[in-house]
Amino acid sequence: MMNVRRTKSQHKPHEPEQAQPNQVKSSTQIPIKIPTTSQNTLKATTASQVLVQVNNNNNNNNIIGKRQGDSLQDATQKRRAAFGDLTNACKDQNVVKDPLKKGKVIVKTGTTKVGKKKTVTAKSDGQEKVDVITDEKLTSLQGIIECSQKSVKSSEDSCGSQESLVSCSQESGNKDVNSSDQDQEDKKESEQKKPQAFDDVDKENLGDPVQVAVYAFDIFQYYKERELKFMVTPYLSKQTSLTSNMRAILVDWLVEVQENFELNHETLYLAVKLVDTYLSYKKIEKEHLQLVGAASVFISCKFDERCPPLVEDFLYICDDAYKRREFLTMERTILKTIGFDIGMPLSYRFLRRYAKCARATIETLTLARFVLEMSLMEYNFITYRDSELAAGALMLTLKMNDTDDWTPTLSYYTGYERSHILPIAKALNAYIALPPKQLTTIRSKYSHKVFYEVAKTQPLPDSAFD
Amino acid sequence: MQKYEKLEKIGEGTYGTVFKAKNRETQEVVALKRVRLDDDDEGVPSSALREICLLKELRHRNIVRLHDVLHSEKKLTLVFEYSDQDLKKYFDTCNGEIDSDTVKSFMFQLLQGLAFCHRNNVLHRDLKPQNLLINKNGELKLADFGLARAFGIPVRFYSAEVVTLWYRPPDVLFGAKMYSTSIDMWSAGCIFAEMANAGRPLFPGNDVDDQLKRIFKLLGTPTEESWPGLTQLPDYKAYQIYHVTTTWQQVVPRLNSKGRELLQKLLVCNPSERLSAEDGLAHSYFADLSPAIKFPDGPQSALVR
Repeated sequence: MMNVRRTKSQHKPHEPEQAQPNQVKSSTQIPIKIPTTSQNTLKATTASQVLVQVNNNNNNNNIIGKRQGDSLQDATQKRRAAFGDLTNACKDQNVVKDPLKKGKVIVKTGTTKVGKKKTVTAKSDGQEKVDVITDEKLTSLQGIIECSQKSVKSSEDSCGSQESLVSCSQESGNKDVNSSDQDQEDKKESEQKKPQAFDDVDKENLGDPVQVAVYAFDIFQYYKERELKFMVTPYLSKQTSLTSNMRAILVDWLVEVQENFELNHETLYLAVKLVDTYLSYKKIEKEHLQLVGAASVFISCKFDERCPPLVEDFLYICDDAYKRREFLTMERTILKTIGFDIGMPLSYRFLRRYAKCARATIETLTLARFVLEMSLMEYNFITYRDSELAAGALMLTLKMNDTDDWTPTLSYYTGYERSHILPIAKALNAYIALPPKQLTTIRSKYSHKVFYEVAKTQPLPDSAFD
Repeated sequence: MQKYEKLEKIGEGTYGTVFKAKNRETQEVVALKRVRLDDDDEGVPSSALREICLLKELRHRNIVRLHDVLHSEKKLTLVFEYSDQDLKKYFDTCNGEIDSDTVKSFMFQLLQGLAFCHRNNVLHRDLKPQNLLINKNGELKLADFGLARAFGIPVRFYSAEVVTLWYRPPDVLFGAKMYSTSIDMWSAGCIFAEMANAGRPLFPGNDVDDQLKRIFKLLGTPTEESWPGLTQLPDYKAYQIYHVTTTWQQVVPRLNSKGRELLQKLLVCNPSERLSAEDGLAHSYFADLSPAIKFPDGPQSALVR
């Protein structure tokens, strides 16, 4: 079993992406493999500080980690059991932590007792509560969701006209073989609406199957219609056990999971979306937030990855805080709750499309990806459409580079005018200017050379958005 | 499971057993695909998960309809619309003769279903006669999305272990992991020829090597010149240079010249030159197709996505 796990999670063939740097492999793997490096120690300290802080903020209850109180010795032994040869070296370290396992922050003996006690309660609680949601609350929550779905519907209607500009454009001459007259007329109309200075980015790629140029435009039109079906209703007011800070910690951890399992970015974005969608339907206890997060990554891996990590791997990164059965039940519960509808349009995909339409350089795209990934941590951004966030991240990045921030070509492909996106770009700028201090995973990731150290880019002054 | 009365076992899918069943209330006949969930396993199989979520997304008359998903602790049951037979069984019943109008109609519907998948960024990746359902009304539907996946733009590396050997394109046979919609178009070409020959498979290879040889014997061995990038493919190896000696008329004698032209454009070794489903639908081979098939819901139907 152990060998299998190692093969899967550590030597898993990575799916590199076209025309962009691969993930930081060596550096991100260092922490989990050789936890004795100074960088890691530093990281561990930071992580524990975060958790300790959260702990204090939340009446001493640990949200992400349930094993906060484990003694150092327990921890090393445990890790050795799983990754024996790799962790022997750190036996004598005082602060040792696998950064993935936020749950298992090793704190000094003083706090251990308290932590441990709590862990036990949480755990026994947890096993029974895993799927228990009081019906009353659920009904009322769903009432709210239904209401808000109505409002989504109406916005869908209004959005129709907004998007008519780009609704029927065609790319290949033969496309309308089946079209009715009405369709033809629509097309003529939209042809007329194409901006004069419009840059047809797909045309030159028609011979390149990787770009799927024949379908690219249609597919993104389709995503834009479809994303309205997946708008997340704000849920924190109903989730009495959760805070936006806990959600941010969870996202930070999910980014670590993505790096360590070498997952695609789509997998990360989908996982976050699954978490939000699930939380908008079901009330959970904070002890289960990490379980929801891990099961969401598990699901999104199955949807998108060539070789998804094993259940064992997920239980391990949660520091065995959850039982196999619990984990698999959560997988089913999430799928059932969201009705298996997991083909969600993701901001990440929109961004890559829009960056291509802007003929952005790889550095610009990387900076925009950093901004967009940061935005995953902020709860207040969940109500934006994915396409809007992608457009906002790109606009901000273009502004930072002091280039023309919103060309007619971009308006055409995104379907958004500059004035619509500007406030979003501004909000994103404000967020990266003042990110949650202790949640550094994304910033360290994008401080790496492979990512052109884009995290070091200075945010803009507010006046840039006037 | 009280809602449905099981009638008989139909077969085994990519995962799980398929039964014919009847809705006790409405008497509607359906196909049930049962997926066992074991705690020792890796949870919901990714093939089932993808099939469910992709089929929930893809609603089209040429794609099998997923009515419902029933959950229980130990299993998942997928409730599909029922079709009388698949294309393979259809071949068995037609005694070596399929009239040319039927071939044209089936091919058109196959391309319609495929174009819809591709526009909605889904690759089927396992097209073959067994996975095309035919109902009493002569409607053809793409089924078994157990190997299907959503693709990104630009595409990433995907698994090269896809598509049943006989219908697998040469680029994937050479281990290509970066492919897109063209992967299904090759299979569509193979199926087209098989229909035109009333069920005789075009390239019934025994293994990858034999498969490639059969393809090259018919189409000529590709070169770096005719297919830039060919020699860089992961499992590329040089093959004997075959020159084209068979005419398309010999290959598909019952197919008219326009049909042969369409077939030729689908069976192109270089994936970037393979015809798309959209362009296939626009081909003059379908010019005289009955409007009832072209626009099954009236002229407006072309608008419905």
